[in-house]
Amino acid sequence: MYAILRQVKANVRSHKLQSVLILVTLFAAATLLTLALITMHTARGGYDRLFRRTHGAHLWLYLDPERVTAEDAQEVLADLPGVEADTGVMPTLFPALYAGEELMKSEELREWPGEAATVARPLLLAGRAPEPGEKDVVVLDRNVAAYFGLDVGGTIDLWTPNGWHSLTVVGLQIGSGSCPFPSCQPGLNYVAPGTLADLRRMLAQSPGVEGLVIGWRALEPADLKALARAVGERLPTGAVLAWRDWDETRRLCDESVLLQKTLFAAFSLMAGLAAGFLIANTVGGAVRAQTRQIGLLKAVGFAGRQLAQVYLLEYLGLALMASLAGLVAGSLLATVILQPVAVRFGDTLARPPLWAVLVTPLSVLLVSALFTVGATRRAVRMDAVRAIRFGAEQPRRRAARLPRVPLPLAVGLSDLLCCPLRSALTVLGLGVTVVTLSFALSAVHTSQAYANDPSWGDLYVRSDLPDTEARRLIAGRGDVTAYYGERVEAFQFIEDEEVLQTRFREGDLQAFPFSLVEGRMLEQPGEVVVSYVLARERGLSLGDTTTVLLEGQPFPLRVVGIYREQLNLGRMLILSLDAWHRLHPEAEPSYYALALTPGADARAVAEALQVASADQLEVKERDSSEAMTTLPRSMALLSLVLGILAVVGVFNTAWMGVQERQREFGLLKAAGMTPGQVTLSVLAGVSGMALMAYVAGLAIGLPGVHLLFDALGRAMFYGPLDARVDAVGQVLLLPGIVLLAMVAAFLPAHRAGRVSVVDSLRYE
Amino acid sequence: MELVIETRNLCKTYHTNGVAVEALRGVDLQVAPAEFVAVMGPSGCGKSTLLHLLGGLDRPTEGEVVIAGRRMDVLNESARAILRRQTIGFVFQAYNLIPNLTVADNVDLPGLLVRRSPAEVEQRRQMLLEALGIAEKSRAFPGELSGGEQQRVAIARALDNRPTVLLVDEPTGNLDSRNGAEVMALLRRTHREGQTIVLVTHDPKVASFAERVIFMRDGRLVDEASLAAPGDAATLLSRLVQLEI
Repeated sequence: MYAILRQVKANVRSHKLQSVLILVTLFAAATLLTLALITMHTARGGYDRLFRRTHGAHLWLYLDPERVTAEDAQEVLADLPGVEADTGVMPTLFPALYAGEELMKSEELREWPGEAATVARPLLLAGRAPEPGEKDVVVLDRNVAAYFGLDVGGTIDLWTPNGWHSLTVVGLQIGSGSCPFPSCQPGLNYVAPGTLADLRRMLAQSPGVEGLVIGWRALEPADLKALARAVGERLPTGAVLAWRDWDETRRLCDESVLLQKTLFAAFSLMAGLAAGFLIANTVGGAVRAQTRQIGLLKAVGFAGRQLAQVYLLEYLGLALMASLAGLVAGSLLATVILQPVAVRFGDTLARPPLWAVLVTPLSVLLVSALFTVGATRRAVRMDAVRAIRFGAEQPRRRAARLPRVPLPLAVGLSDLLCCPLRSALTVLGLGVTVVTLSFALSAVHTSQAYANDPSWGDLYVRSDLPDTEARRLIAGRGDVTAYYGERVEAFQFIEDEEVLQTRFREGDLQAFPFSLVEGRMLEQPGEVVVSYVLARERGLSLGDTTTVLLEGQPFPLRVVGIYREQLNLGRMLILSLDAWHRLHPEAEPSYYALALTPGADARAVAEALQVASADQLEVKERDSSEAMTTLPRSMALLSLVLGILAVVGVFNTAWMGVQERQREFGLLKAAGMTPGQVTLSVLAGVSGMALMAYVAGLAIGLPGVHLLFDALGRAMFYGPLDARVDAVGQVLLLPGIVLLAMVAAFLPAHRAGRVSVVDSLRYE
Repeated sequence: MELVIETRNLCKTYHTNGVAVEALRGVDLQVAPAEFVAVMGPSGCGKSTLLHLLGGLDRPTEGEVVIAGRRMDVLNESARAILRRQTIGFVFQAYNLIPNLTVADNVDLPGLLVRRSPAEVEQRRQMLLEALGIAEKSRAFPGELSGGEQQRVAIARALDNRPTVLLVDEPTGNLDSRNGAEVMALLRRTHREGQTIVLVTHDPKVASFAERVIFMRDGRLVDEASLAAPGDAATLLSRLVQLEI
């Protein structure tokens, strides 16, 4: 054992650079693996962690205060079977809140439950909780604040019949009652205990802003039906406005990060593959480079088993150090890359779970051990005399004819073909990078194409003006080519209690490129365009008829189109405004979508309309969702990490190749090759590998992108998506990956060019 | 008569672990066209160093090397490589064929480096391999050949560009006596066809194939002898004894 340890020490000392390279490679692999594991953990378990931290309620119930009072509800809902604890019946408001001049989407206000709350206590993330009775302060939902660009110290405004009323933001919190805003709406915000009644009085004349809510923590969370049934039996008919259970919320949370989760999962797979190829190549190559030494050790009496122990100890020691360092680096990197996902669930950092702490070192050690043993066994089986004589430069049985291209290129390519395993592993490693980059490009391109939903036109207008006046102003603009009006109202399918939202539209609908999965847009009353999710849920196809209830009135409709919907979890309809006019003849659109002439300055038109309307029209340019805007940044960061791994991989391969071929380079130079030609031959070899990786990567990546996006679109409510391939990006990927490989191999190639002929031939 | 090789006060000092080792100490050498010169001496006397400097594989610490009328010692590495590929052919003791290239590709290498046309390169290769008796091995790889065959391939490669000078380093050192004799017979035949050869060896039998033998000791040329008849190893042996080499 002492001899083995001495040899290990000698190896590490005498191959310092090689040891450092292996360390760097394994470190990069461990970093990626850690990052991938934390990604999965952050994306998947966010809601569960939040639920635990807030001691969340399993079932929420919204009540109509006109049908039942808070006191009566509290009394009849006491002592329910299967309940561990409840929040008590709480008043709640749904007022019109403004962030600056922007109307916040329907927001909910409750009173801060205080320290005594045992169920569904909000998690304070920043600022402070409001003091009891403290007037005009609010603790905003963290995701609401982020969406509207608000922070502690900012203000929001409440619109009351008597004018504006400001609330100062004193804190940010998050709760487990719903999935993160804006995926789920409304956002839940809190005012000081004892102050909601004052706000309610201010809004007294506004209908539909008041409600009651209660949440229960169940003893049997998996079976909430009995609890819901018991609640329903105790309350008057029509008192229940809505139910919300934790399982559905968790599902919605999961779906709200589905895009990130899917992309990160794909990335994790790629990272794992890249790390595997890299470890295999590096450790295998390092042992192979010591073939002569293995022969010498055999000659002085080392048995095969002892030799395996020498290299296992050496490389497992390096792997252990690298994996621990990678674990730390991956964790730090995750806090940067995954913070946008983590904070949506109230986590400040994306932390590695315990199993990831174990999995990373074990995986790296296992793969290192596997390839060390494999490579050592091959070397140990070799005849000692041949190993000493030829070293890593064993006479090769497999060789290639010199291609009839310029000689440096020919030499580089022939070397590539005569070491197929090493070349294949490097090509696979680079190929994984190509697949990832190709995928990232397509992902960004596709997401932008769908996020910038063309059906919203170039400008989106919210109107406080009468319809005729708004239309006059819009139609008066010469650069507006078409527009349509829209309002959103509730509806139900017949014989179904669930209340959903539908869009009512009217105007130049045919002029807008709606994102239809199949069929067409509305042309006449009595038609409906159904979202992909609702069509799937209800089994609706083109030509089918269905009946919906609008304020209790049945409307038979014929399905003429199925479209991709991004709001309300993709569960909406599009109807003609005529249908709503049958119930409310004076109803007018609340929003208008405008299409502008090509090249028109959208911002200038928006400003002109606002000025002309004396700010009665709120005009916005088309924007993208939060997920879609953060996607390019995430993809760029992940691609960068894989790119670095690819650089390390190519550097290692080139470096080991140059070490092994020193004598060959000496010979080539003796035959008349210049240092520049030798350098070029090495670069030609890695460029050839990059080219192969590009072809293989695109062959796998492009069909993969189509399959993935199709599945992703279906899972994310939108409906099947056609992946948009960025042709220019994909073509530029070729010079990009070749350049990356050449940059990575430049130092080894330069070293090859500087090989001293005399030194390389000295020990002949 | 213009010399093919001329060195003036050629010195080479190596520094190993801070210790200076003088491998060559003021060597003056002249080689005429079509001359066959052998350099003899004990191990470490500077024979191989001299050959490396003549071939531009290394730069002298001091002195001049003129090959075919051009100063080699003042050129940078790339220029030396270009001059080498045009004027010099090397044959090494360990053959030094490139293991992942076929015999044909190894022989073609110098021709391709000077950008001769593929047809011309192939024609020259076939001629050389036939002349050396290994034409049927052109598709083989070095690892599949015997030592003697590998050395013939190395000679073919060295002659491919019709070099002005053939530099040969211990050509029979790795061969048995039969293969060694065949290789030397080949070199003699090449010389008879007008090839200038400078051969380095410590074997009197090998050196006896030359016309002129130069003796080296401790980095200096200490003597030289012209051989009246090829194969006169006895004369060389007696001279070596006299010189205490």
